[in-house]
Amino acid sequence: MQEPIIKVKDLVVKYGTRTVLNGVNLEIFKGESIAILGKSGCGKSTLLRHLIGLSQPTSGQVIVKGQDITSMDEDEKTEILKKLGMLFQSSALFNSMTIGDNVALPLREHTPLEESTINIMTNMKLGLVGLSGFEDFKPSQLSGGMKKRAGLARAIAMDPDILFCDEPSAGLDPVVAAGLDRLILELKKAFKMTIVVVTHELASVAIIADRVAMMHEGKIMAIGTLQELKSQNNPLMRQFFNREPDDEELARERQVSSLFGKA
Amino acid sequence: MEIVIKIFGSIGRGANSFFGHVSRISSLVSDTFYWIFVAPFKGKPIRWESTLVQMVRTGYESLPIVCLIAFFVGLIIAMQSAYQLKQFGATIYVANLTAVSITRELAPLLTAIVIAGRSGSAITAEIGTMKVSEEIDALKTMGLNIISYLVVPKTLAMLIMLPCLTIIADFIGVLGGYVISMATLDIASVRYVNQTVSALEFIDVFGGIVKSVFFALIIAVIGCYEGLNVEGGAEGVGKSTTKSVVTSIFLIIAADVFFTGLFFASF
Repeated sequence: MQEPIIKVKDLVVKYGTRTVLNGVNLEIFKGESIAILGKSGCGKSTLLRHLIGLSQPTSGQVIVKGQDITSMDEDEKTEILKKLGMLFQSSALFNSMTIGDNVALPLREHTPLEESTINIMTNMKLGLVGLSGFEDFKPSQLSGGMKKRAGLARAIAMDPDILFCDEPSAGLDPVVAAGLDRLILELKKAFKMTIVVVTHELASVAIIADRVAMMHEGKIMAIGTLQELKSQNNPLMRQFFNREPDDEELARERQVSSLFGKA
Repeated sequence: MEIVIKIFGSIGRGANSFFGHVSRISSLVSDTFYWIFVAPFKGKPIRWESTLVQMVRTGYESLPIVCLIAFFVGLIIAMQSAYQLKQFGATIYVANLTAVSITRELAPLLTAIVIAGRSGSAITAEIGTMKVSEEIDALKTMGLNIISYLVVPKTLAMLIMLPCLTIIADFIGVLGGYVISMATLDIASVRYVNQTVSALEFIDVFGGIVKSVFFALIIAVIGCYEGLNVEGGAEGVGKSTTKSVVTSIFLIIAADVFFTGLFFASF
């Protein structure tokens, strides 16, 4: 059986007395694209931060390419991180730099390449995301969708084995969001990357994901293809896929209706 | 009983928070010193290009305001001391008073306060904005160490430029005293200069420069610490920037009391 490229074992994350992740177990295999789904506040972004080593868990392990990133020293972690890419929800482009410098930064920091070679590679990556000719623009001069694409170009600058995407469609109109989803899929095929996407956009999941991990209250509730999950007779999943509000939300709605009458 | 528990509870929480800050600031200082003094010998060089950019921002661009303030303070000290010394016909001692008070105290202190307000706040705002917009996380995911990438260039630039600015402020402050003496006190130029030179000892100037090195460390470390601990959005950046300036100025003055006491007792 294929060895997972990422293996999460009994991951527990607590902030003070609040438990955010409560024993997460997950295996992600090389070359697949997996979407981590769930309601806001269920712990999916926290899980992503731990998958890429941005935070230290309370207990448990995150094994990336056979190495536990929760217990490695900084130099070892740097070596692992060189082959991981991350597309942030807010794009997280460096506002003080041009788009070209943003994409070139990891190459300048981690490779001994000549500046002329770095420029060629930067232009190539920007071309892949449809931003040729925007090298000298500052992030503030770009639209939301262009910023996301520039963030994607920076994330793939080092030809990563694994690409993490945090809410890639958030804040984008449906047309731009669909374009970005297809771009991620194309890049996955071109670079044979493993893709981990955190989202709550079902339309994105349908385009990008081979498998879906559904989170609820700090745990992975179910894992499988989107069709498998949709066909399960679990009330929480049915509520999520049918976009039904919580009981609390319905009670609040009834309270508002009783006060002001129905429109 | 309940009120006693509340009182001890709040004292405990306050102490816990205070020592938490002290511990995290100490850790930041030790990490910064590691990246300045140890890491370069392990093949992780200092980012001199970024340091130079920061030196221009912190030092060169602050030069006009530091000079102006030092000059005005020189004028004020000379006028105030002349007002008292005139009564004894000892106006020549304006040179002594101005030179000693500027070099020992006012140039290092006022330069540090100006730089805390100007550059310390800029450091917090820059790092804080980067944290809010996930740029710090982006650096970490690229395998870049934020102490080496962000904190060291700013700290090193401050450690180099604040003593330089202090030396310049020493000269300009003394010049302020000279201008007042020439304009209003009828003292010969050569006599004023000779009096200044004979009044000053090496330790006066050197003590001021030593103090400025510690002030630089306070401004840079507090600026970076507050920036890295920003929480929330734009409002959080604003709050941390204010806190950074207030804490820096308080610690500069507290450190000044300590060093002045030390120099006073030793020399």
